[in-house]
Amino acid sequence: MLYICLRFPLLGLDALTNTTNVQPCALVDGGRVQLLNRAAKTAGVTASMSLTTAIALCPELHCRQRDRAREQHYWHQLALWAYRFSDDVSLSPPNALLLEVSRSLRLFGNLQRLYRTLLSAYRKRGLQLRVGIGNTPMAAELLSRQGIRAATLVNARGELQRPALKNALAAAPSRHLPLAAPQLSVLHNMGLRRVGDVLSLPRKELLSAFDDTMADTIERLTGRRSDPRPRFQPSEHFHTERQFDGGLQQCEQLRLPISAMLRELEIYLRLRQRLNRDLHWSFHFLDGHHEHWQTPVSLRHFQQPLLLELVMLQLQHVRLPGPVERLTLTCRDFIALETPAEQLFDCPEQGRQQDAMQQLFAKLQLRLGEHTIQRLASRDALLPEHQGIACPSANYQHQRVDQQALRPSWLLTTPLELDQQAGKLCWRGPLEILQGPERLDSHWWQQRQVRDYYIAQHRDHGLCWLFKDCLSQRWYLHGFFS
Amino acid sequence: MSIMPSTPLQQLINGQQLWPAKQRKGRAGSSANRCSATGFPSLDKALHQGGWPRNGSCELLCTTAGIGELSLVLPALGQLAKQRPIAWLNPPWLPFAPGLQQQQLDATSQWLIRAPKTQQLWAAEETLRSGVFAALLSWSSDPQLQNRQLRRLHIAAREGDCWHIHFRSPICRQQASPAPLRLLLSGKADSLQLEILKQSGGHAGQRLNIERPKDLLWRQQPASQWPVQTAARQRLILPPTRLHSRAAAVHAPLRPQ
Repeated sequence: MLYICLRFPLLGLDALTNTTNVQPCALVDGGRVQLLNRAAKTAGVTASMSLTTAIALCPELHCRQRDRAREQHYWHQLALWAYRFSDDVSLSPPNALLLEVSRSLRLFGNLQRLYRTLLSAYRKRGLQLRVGIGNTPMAAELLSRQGIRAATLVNARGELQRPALKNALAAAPSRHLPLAAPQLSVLHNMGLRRVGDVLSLPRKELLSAFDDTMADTIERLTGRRSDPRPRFQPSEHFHTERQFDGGLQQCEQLRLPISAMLRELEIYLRLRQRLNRDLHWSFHFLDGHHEHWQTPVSLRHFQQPLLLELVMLQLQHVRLPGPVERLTLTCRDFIALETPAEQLFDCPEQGRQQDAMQQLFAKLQLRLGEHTIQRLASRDALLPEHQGIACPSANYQHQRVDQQALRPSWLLTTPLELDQQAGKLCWRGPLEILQGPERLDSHWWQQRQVRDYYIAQHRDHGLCWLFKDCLSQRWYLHGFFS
Repeated sequence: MSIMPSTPLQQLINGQQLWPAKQRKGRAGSSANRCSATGFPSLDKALHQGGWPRNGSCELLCTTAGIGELSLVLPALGQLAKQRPIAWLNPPWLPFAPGLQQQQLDATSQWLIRAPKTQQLWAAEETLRSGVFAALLSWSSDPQLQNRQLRRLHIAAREGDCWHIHFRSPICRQQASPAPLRLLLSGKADSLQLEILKQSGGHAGQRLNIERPKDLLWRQQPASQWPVQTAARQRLILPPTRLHSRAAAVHAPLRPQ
């Protein structure tokens, strides 16, 4: 077992703002400074300083009120992010994550490479990060207090050297042990300044000098007693948001944040082996009102670039009423991911064709409307208008009908009533009847339909399909033999 | 082919950037994979490519419905539909599935796309470019399409390997178009008349007639001309005053009351 502990010392501040290094920032809780970034520290502000003193020292200090809910949410998001490195992620209060990475080592090659990837991934988001590595969860936590560099623990091939790890743990200050304050002061007074000093004491001595909690801590630290941590469970719904200080004016500016949010969703979906059915966007504008948007999704796979194109397509024709201050993405409905059944002799061409079709239809439906795409079908019915229909692809049904009599290739969905001039039928000119009639008599149970169908030729030599409604004695045009 | 495919000349010909004025022998063999048989031997012969193009735009200019404009492309579509589906963009009426099945076109692979007027070109371009469909039949409500727009459609069809059948009004005959194949369709009493306005690979201007199916044009005889016994026929003969117009006699049993 090998654990990596990621500690985010400025978690509370990072959750609220992204500009932690440019200007001095401080997190304030109950009138006192709790967390501060490096810029604030150089200005002379220290933790637990009162707000008035801090502002007196550093007038340009950017103070943010602590928001525990957002902090928690941000922490969980980071945990979700850590899933790309390990399948066993647990939260370690107050501001750290624990990853069991012994199985990930093979995926990433070696510890050095994993460490570098991990660090660069979090640094890219502008986060302050301290890493601890240990054989037990508690050892990793302990070392992450100060931060440790993997380069000191690995050999030339990037593999972990266990003795080096042991030395690093022994050299850690004993005041970082998770013990109550009186016990820590006792350790300090006894001159046991390093963890190594405590560990080198015989177990019997330790038990006689301290109570059970001390012995328990030491045993968990060394791995003699198991220290199970509850695994982090992602929530049932997906929710993420982005805050824009000052607001974004144009749709195109939203592309980057939307892309990042969709990528987050991608990780969440992969983790839960689910597929989303829609995206709920809500735009919060600077003037306080907000708008909801929905992007329907009907793809077989989650493809972030394609989805981004769909969302941008939707936004293209929207005029934002004002600058966007906050953008949130929520997904509630998920379906289980279908693993496509692949046959031995299946051609991959067909699957690609299916995907391309779904992509095209998603695009068309988004821009043209829901019911723009239909599929032709025939039904075993008596009247022509029920025989050949176009139905939406969602509830597609097709029955093969074997029609003996001639049928046209165009059908008018609503028959057009024909004029008669001097006893002759007319539709943009006189019509000459060639053959007929073919009688259809049906629907006596609803409204009886008795029709005599004829084929007629138009003045321009087009062949038309006419019928005479025998009950009302009227003539109608119903199709063309094209 | 006698020429190696890597020569610059062959590359130009393959990219259809060069117009071979003189037909070379063996060209039909090389272009057989780029065209599909029309199903009408006379038309196959008239087209220098030997059939309909597999991709790119193809304009059919016709005004009236029912002259056989669909039956001209249906045999080729029936073959294409076995591989990839076919899309119909804004058809003037509903394509009637039982009727299409009678002409050997599988109705289940026909997709209908209805786009509002302003989005028509966008929908056509997206559909052509996607490579999902073997063919797109499109009807445009706007007769005044610009050269630039038509060229975009043609290029999209080439990219997506889609046969774009563009039904347009004969008004556009005088307007230049980037489509490599343009046909003018007009109806005759018992056939469909074709005039090839433009085609790639050689001269245009061929005119040909394609017979319409006999059973469609079969004319029912009036009862007066039914083959019955002579004695009975004598009795059935109508007064000459009512027989002066043949058309009237044809309609006599069918006239609306």
